Amino acid sequence: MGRRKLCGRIGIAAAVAGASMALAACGGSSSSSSGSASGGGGATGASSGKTVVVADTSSVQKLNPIVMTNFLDFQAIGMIYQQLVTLNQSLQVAPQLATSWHLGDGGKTVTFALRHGVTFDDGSPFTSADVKATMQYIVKPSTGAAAASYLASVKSVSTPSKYTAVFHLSHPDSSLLYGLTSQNMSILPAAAIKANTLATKPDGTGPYEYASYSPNNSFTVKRNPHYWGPAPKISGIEFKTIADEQSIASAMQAGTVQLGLLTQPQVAQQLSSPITVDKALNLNYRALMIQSKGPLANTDARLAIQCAIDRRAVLQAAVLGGGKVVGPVPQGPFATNPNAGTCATQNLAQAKSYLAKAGDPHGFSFTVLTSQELDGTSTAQATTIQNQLSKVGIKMSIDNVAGSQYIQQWLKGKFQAALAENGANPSPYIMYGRYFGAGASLAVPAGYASPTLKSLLARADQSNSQATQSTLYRQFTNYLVNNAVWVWLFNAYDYYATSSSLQGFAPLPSGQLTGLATATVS
Amino acid sequence: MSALESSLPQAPAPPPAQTRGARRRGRGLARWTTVTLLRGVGTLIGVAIVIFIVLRLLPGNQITASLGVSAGLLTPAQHRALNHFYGIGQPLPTQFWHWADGILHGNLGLSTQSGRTVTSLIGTALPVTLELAILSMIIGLILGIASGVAAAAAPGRFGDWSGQTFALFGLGIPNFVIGAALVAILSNVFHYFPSSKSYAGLFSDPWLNFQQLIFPALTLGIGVGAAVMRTTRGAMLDVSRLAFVRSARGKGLARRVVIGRHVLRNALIPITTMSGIQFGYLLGGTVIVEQIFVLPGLGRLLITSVQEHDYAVAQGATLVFAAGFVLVNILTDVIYMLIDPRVRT
Repeated sequence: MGRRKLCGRIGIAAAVAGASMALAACGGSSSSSSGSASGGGGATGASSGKTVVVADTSSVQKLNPIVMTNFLDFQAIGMIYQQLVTLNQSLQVAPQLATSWHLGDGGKTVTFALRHGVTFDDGSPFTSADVKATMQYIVKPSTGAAAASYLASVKSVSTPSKYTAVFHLSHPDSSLLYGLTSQNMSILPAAAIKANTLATKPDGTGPYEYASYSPNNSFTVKRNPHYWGPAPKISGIEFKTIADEQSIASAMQAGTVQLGLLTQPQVAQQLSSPITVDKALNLNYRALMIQSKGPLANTDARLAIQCAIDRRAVLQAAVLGGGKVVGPVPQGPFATNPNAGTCATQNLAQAKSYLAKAGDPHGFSFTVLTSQELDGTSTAQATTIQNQLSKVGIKMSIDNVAGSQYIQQWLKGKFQAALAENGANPSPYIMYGRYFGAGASLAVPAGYASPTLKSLLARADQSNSQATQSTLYRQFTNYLVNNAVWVWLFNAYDYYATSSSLQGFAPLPSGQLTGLATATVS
Repeated sequence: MSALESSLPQAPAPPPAQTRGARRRGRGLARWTTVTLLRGVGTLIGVAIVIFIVLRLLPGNQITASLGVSAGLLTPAQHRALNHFYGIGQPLPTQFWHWADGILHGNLGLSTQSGRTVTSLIGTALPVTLELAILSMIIGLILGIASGVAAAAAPGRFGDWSGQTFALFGLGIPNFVIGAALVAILSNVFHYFPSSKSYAGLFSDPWLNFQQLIFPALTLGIGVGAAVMRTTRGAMLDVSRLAFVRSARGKGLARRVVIGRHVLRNALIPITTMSGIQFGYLLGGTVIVEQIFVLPGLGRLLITSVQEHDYAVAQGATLVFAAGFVLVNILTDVIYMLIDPRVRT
């Protein structure tokens, strides 16, 4: 299973947030407490209709945006659905179906002003009733939406008018807005929820609408003639499954594919003019997750591991250097400086010193859980780290298991350390509340609990001041790094190969392809 | 005949010998049909039980297959609701009975991943696999019989040598290697990759459909052809040594006639047997080849459904494969009877 598929399996849905398709029309601005945008542009100047073929090694698996997990699903279905708010190029919250929002009652209510003149693909108008029905659908247990965790603080949603939706919270929750940017929080038509047609017939408000679906083969969307924003110039997009990335590259050279989604740097590097390759940092991060038990319960032992690891070498071995070494929060307004903190670069002398302090001057042994099936780079990561740790006497055994086995063991915390690719989010609370926050649902695989971490996360999340949040989140990430709770490794690049006939397409940091709606094809 | 004799009830006249033979054959055919059908149904029941159990022995369940580690974010209420939805925790016999009951009522179930009916998913995928299998079989038979006949016609000479080399190649190299190599050569050297276009149905775009299927079919057909070649060669050499062939030659019949009308025709039984077996294996081979060439057939559906723990789809697809295998075996037996009168009696 390739890394793209892995995002669906391992990456948390938070990894993929709604994209900023609307921004071109809205030019919206936002802040931590409010945001606003001008009205939609309306469909103008519908342009001619050529279609684009987008190739990926994965297939679209689910059509219901609330429960989808596969990365390609987010990209393909993301052309159809939209959210109340989205992320802009700086990974900050920006308007989409909500034109503005404001906090009230000390942060315990969030009032959204909804965009007028928006219709779903079935022709029904978008109103606050759809927002309420969507939120109720997401939290309904039988939906089985992992994204319901984003709404943990939401007590109810009221609809005082057709174009106003008010979220009533149990406590101030600054991460709510980031949660609402997720594709898993797409706004659905109330009628489709009631008719239970979401799994078979997508019906959204985005620039494209559903055309056809051939499971395990292709998924096609066509231009939405009633789109509230600027009319897309490309009349249709086909998401085509091609077995391997090398074949995608060949299909591009043959001219049958206009946009190739690649993760392997060696394939991306071999493509040459007239094909251009853009790269964008994936929101998912690789980390060595450590269970704080046995020899690894000792902070100095964990720090010894951190100091012995050369993360740049791991990045080089895993993806030929195609990415960036990162800290706990890779991107966004609260991004961590990867060059700060204990042993930001490999320091073997420091590692030996920590081993001596831990009472194991000659090192210790532990086992790391990996799954090459889930992450094609994990063996390269593991063997590189194994070699590095051996230099200070730490013996790391590698337990490479099948994907389903990995997930079972990971969820039950049945590992000493695990190489993981986890979903990131611009909001540190969304990223780590589930691991280290109060009542964290993933506390078991996180393998580490601290009242300090809980307190810092809660205070940051409940603050309405971005400056306060920045300070608290910095303290939080410093704690993670300086105690080597886990060892954060790197984020890899995703590569977007475009043929010369596709012009004006730019990848978004969220990985979304909504930039296709403003691109042209000759 | 005396009067006494004439007053006695007359024994029924013995039926003509031809009628007795026909009845015997009729009874034999009825018995064969009954046994074959029972055997087929028994096989399908066995396959159903095995696949049902095997799928549930895999680590994880539908929830973790669907959500990955995000399953850890679900609340207990969500877990309970999903367990109920997927039937997790129900006793296995109960789950099996629900599934079997559905099949008996023509309902193969619902895909828990896509929300579509299993029948519709199989209905879309099966024609792709059938077309691939039939095309592969045609290629295999042409390659196999032609090279087998050429080899048997001139043992130890070039035709024989090249045919045996082909057989060695076809039997020695797994079809997934041949498939992967074909994809690599076509796409990298010739930049030709018809699968990068949407799958075209046979009737919607026959030319594109042919382009998309010919290489996967060739991949499978080489293996089939290799086995058929070996069988054809061996059977023809055996028949060639028989007296009637020598007589035919002695009568001065043309070599082509001797080989085509006398030798090949009498060698058809083992060739048919081998072809039937190969067609069964070929159905299994489609699973891998469809994956390599990204064909939306039954094999690809099966692999995806197993990965996603989509039990109803995986079970349904496996049953269809098994039914195909059973059907091919029956057809092979029927063909035996048609080409060899001895089997009919």
